[in-house]
Amino acid sequence: MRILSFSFETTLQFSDPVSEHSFVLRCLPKSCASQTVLDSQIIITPHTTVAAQVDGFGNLLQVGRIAEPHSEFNFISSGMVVVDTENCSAEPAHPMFLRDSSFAATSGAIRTFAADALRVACNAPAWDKAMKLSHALYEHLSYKPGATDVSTTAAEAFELGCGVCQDYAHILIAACRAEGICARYVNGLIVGEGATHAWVEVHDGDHWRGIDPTHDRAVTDEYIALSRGRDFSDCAIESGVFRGGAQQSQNVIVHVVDQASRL
Amino acid sequence: MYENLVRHTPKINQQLARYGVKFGIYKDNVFSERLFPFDAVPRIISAEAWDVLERGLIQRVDALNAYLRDLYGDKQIIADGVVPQDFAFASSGYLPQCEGIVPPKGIYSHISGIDLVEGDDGEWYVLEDNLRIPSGASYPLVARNLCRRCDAETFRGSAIRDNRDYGERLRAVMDNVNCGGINVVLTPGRFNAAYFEHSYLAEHAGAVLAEPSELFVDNETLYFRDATANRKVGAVYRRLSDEYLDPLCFLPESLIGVPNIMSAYRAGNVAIVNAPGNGAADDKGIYYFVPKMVEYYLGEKPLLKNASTYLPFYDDDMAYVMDNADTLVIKDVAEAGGYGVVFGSTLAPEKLEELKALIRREPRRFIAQEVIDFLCLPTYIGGEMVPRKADLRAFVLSGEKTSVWPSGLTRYSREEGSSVVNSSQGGGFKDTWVLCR
Repeated sequence: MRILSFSFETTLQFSDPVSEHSFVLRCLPKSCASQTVLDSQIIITPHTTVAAQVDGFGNLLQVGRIAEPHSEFNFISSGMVVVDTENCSAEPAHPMFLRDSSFAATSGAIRTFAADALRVACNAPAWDKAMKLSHALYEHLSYKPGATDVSTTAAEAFELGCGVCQDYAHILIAACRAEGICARYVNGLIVGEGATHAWVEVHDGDHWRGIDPTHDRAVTDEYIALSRGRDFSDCAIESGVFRGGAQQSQNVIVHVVDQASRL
Repeated sequence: MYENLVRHTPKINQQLARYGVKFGIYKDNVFSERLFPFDAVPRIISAEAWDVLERGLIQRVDALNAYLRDLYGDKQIIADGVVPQDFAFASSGYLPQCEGIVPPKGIYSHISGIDLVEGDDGEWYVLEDNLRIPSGASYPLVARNLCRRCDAETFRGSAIRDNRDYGERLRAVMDNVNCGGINVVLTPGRFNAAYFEHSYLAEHAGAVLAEPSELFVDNETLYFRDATANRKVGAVYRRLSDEYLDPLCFLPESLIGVPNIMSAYRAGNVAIVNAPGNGAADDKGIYYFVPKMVEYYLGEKPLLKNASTYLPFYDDDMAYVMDNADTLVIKDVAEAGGYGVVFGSTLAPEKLEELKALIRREPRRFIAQEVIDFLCLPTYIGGEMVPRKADLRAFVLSGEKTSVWPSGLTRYSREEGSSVVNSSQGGGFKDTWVLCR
């Protein structure tokens, strides 16, 4: 068990002012079995009223609109979370996490890859299989920022042989589903990384367990989950629609600190 | 009783063309558009026959609404094994984004278009449920008006139930779920092939016709941008499909949606007519289970029949389909619209074997149905009366109570003997007369 404090800041810069900017943010953690949110807040600039809602996947949303022209959009979420991955409670898996989804659909190549990786583990529990798939994927894929983008699918990234955390997660999800293992996508923050991260949860027996294919390891108490879905497209941390044909650039700063290390 | 009307047919068709009454079926994301020929010889339904149909349709739609409430809520019917999860969640119309949202008054399908045919045995069979945005109510409405204008005598003398209250019925349905504010009909715009219907229904329901850019969401509330003020919207009858409704919830590339309309809906501040996610209850794979839903939710025997349908997913059905594939219609659940529909009788033996092998390999992907011999209606084509196969789209409205509009859209096939009544296949339409006695 760890107590983590986090601060997560995103700035969108527009080359020309935009207006009527509607947005949905999934930037605040929600309490669940393995994580208890002690405290959290959000500051949005330009100032506007936001409504807190919960989406169909159980994620916490901040929904709002900025009507006036603005050339910068900034949000800072921060708070304190107790993480205890040992504390997992039984939760049934929705069958949708077993089916192909747009970004994490299986391809012939991924299916073959998964079958090969599990050739000697056909009767192992879901968790062991998923770990084996993660090992094999870690060998197959090289981490390479810029090779893929947010619209790259699991099949495309697998073909390329490289990608970032989002691609690692999508391919592992597709491989798990090909092997009949329920898997879902997680966006979040981790200790020691300056950007947001993505990983996978697989349904093992009667509960969900986290696995981080980018680092090829089980999720530890240093991970804060922000949103979950079938794949990236269900649970983007930030999405918006606005009026104005501006170019946009994004800057993200993440600080996650283990409170114990501060003592 | 319709003899006088027949000679007015060309005139009525000219009027329909002038009004821009085109037929566009928005189905499985494909829009087809064309002039829709009108035949003045109506389908006539007796009061007794209507009574049975009406009760059966109300029952069916009530069960479908109960299923949608359950599917996006407790999922009891799946836990009880009545609908297998492989079918419930395999439907492309199932939208997990709608999980946990309870629409105002728990109504999902406010306007249901149920497609039926009358068999040679005199029984009605349901072919398809349309719970998304079934179109077509305006055609018999406009045609009835034009017919009355051409020949008022026919209607004065006969005991035909008036169908001109559809607008009022639609308004009552919207008022029933309105969360405070005005009623709006949301159209993709005037270049949409069904724009005529959108504007016609808005006018007759006393609702504001709005294009997406005229609506916006602020603080979990949907507003209509008026010239002078922003007016709160309490119910929106949207005539665009789920995936385009909200770029921040569904397809991000949608340019015709209203950003964050789902947040207003989630918060219970606006009713969306029909509810997003209804496609989970009206696809080919789920159709088989609708009579079971009637028994499960209402504890009643279904009054309306399905075409006999087999799911190769079940062993007994698989055996039957393998033995009788040459006489059945095989439908691919995954395919949209008319695609993936094959009459076994039209296939060469080796093609039939290929199909059977495919069904054995992917049993969940297919359903098989008996071919229904359905009745022909007299139709006036090329100066003579000829028999044509015809179906009926009945409109069921779920407001405070569920009711059936005493009319409907009758579509007939262009070719003799053909059972394809789809507008895209060149058929036409008729008015549907329900008699008072």
